[in-house]
Amino acid sequence: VHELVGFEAARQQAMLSFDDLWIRYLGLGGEATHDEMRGYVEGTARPSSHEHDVLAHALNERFMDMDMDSPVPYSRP
Amino acid sequence: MTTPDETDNPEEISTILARMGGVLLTEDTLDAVLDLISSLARSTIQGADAVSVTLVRDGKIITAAYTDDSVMQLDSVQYENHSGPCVSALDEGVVIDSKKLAEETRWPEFRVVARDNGIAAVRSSPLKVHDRAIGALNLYSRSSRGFDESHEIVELFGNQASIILANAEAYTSSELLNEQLREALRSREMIGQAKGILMEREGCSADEAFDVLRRASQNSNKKLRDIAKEVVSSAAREPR
Repeated sequence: VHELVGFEAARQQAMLSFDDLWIRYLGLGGEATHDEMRGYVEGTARPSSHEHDVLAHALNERFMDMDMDSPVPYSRP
Repeated sequence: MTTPDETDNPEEISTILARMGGVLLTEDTLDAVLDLISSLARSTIQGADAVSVTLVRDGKIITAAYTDDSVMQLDSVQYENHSGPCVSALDEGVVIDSKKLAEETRWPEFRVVARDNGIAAVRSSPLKVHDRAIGALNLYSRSSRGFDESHEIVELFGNQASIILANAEAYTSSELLNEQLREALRSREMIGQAKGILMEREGCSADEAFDVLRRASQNSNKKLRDIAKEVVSSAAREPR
């Protein structure tokens, strides 16, 4: 059973710094700057549904590395 | 005060050291530069008969540079017992100075080795990077006058060694960051190509192309960039 979690909880669980996460997000084609992305993670800014999914996938790929289920939900199916 | 018979004057030395301070160093060149600093310190600082640089590397205390083989004994007895001027300079982040080792009550094991090597005085200055001591510059003297007369130049050497260490640390982390960024950009490029292929093939938008790749990644438990690579190489095989 997947327990769905928010970005910040997932980032901490994934043990990624904002720098690490941003580089992963960039590698998946994310368009936001480091600080904008940080805003999405901390909930002070709202990403487009596409940027939301890129960020979610960056976290979920990290969980893939850690042999864990992907707990971060996507905005699109 | 500079006396006329001194071969190296502090101003010249400080120019040399300042020049070295701006250079980003790898671990190998760092050790070579620390060796150079140690020899310069020994020839410039009055009373310094042996000099070494202690560093914490990968969580272990080591001697990264030294001027004489006897120093290795003086340093290692301190590391083994975790007791001695250079260990205290590291732990406490302050200058540890002992002009009369013979009358010293601290560091029993170190004092025996110092006496056997004819060392009468010692001074260890912490080398700090971002306010954290990550090493020490150790001066050993056979004379019990210590290093008070060369106080300023001792400080100069300590400061420059710290700057060089900070640069070496910055080099290591910037090298790592560069490598990660290069990887990320390669991945981004691959994913961009795959999206372009899917957009043309499926007649979809860029965001929809990403969704296709992302779902394939989720379902196969493969990295999205690997899925993208498969899309790109399958397209390259297709005859136009």
